[in-house]
Amino acid sequence: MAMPVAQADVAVIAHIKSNFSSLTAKQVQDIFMGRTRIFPNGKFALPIDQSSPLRAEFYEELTGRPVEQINAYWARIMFTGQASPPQRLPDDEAVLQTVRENEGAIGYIDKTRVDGTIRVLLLVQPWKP
Amino acid sequence: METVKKHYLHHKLAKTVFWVALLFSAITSVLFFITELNRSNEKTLVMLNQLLDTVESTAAIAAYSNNSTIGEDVLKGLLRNDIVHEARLSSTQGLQLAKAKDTEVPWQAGVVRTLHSPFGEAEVIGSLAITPEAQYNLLEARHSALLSGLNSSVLIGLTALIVLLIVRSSLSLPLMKVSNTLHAIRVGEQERLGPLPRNHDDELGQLVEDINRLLETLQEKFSAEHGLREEIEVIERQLRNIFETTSAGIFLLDATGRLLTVNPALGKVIALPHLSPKELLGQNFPELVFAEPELMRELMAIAASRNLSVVQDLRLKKRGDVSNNWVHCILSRQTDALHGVCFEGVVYDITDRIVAEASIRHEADHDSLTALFNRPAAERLLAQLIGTRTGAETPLALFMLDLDFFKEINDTYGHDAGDYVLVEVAARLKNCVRASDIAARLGGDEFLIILVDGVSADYARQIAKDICIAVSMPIRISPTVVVRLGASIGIAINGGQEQAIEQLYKVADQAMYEVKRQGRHGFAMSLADGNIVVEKIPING
Repeated sequence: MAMPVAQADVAVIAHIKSNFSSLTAKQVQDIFMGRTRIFPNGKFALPIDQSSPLRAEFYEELTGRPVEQINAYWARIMFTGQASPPQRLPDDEAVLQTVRENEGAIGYIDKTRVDGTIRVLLLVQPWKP
Repeated sequence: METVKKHYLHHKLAKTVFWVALLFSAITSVLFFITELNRSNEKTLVMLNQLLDTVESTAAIAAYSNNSTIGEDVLKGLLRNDIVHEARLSSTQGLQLAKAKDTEVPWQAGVVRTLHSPFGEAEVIGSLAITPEAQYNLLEARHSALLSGLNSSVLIGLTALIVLLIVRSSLSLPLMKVSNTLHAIRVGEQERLGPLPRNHDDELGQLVEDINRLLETLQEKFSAEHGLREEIEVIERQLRNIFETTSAGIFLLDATGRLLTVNPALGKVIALPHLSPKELLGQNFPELVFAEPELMRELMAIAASRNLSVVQDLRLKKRGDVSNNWVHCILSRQTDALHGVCFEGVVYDITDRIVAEASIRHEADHDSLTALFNRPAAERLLAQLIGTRTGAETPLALFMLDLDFFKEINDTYGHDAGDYVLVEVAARLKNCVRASDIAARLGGDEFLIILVDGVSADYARQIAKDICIAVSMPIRISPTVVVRLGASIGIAINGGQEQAIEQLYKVADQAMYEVKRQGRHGFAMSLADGNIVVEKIPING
């Protein structure tokens, strides 16, 4: 395993008015990895990434892959010009701000920062093969 | 020596080795091609899988993200490999990509790799399929097979060449030498095969020795046979010479008596000198030649049954003025492979002998002076006559005759005169009897006359009287001397029944003495009662 990080759970959050209460880890993965751009209800999905240390934890727990592979993945996709990785924000605060303001946005934050202004769609558990 | 186009052994061997090698090479090439094709197929499969391994993750990303650009990149990359004919990428989200080379290939099994999500191994997100380039396998296999074929051909060819050279130098050349020498040697010659220095201890050396031994034996046999043949030729020539020049006639008859072989002398011997041997062939020998052909046929039958040589004197047919008419014939049966049963025979002229025999017999039987039968002949003839009588015949008469006054003539005029008288008397006696009757001089002036058949007492008396008269006729013994004789005849008649010769003689003798006692010149006959009646004949002046 990589160097130990704070074993805080990561919460996937969306706009408070989202008319669905939860997503599966796979649905979250497909959205963040650019496989799909819509939510199960057919609404457009805008994944928000962040460049904090939480990012590595999030992707490793979500996909079971080191974050370097995720970067390589995106590098490959980007090279084709057909798609680009999710927009990256500096920290949880900026993510919260953006999710509160955009109905289709979906992002992830430290679980401890969750408040009532947003809806938690999924709590990401450490990935188990 | 005849020169024929030779087919050298080592050439034949080389040809055979070449063709067999070629065949083997072809077979191994084909086998190699097949195995190589299989191996190449397997190799292709492995390579395809390796290719799939290489591009799998990228393909999975393309399928996962539905990214056709990455997918096409993957497919292009795959097609850049020689072994790939066609590549297809499909994803569960509807991405369908396919790329193929524009070569024509028969349909064949490809390799399909199922693509899993790059982030969740268990999820199937699409498939990547590759069809191999068939041409590639074929080319590769063909190339390998060609290489192997070339390789084995070169090896086999080299081996064949080496074998050929070895065989040529150590077997074919020495053998050719032996063969050529042997070819030049004629049967029976002194020449022998030269030894092979390098092969003295192997089969070739042994062959040469054996051939030489065989030539030796052959020469010996040949010269021996040559000598023998010459000997036989000499004998044959001698025999032929005998056959050709002998005075005896030699012939070969078939079972029916036809002439199969004759020698030149035969025609002369059988009194047909004008017929050549060729003309005689095929003629029926007994019928053609002999006065009594049945005798000859009988002789053949005897020879056939007894399987022995048989001999017989045979009389020839009477032919004009040819003098020989008797031959001695020796005949024996032979069994000829060509003709079956046949007879070989020899005939030679015995006419002279027969004539001589006849004259000897005549001399033995006749009185040399008068040519009448002599006493032994007369007695033999009489014995024959009496012996063969059956009793049914008419009687015969026996005259004993004694000349009267012969002694006086002999004493007076000498033996020559006496002999002359006897000859004259004999002639007159012969004139008085039939040719079949017997007149004999018993000795001195004693004669015996036998009237052989149809004799009655009167006939006998008549004959006796004729004789008396004939004898008493004057005989001129010299120009100046004429003599007269008388005859005393005693007659005995064999009356039909068996009567001993001695008895007849005795009766005739007694009758004759009775005539002499009563004054000579006459005849007397004993009657049945034993009396003797004398009839005297007066001697005419």
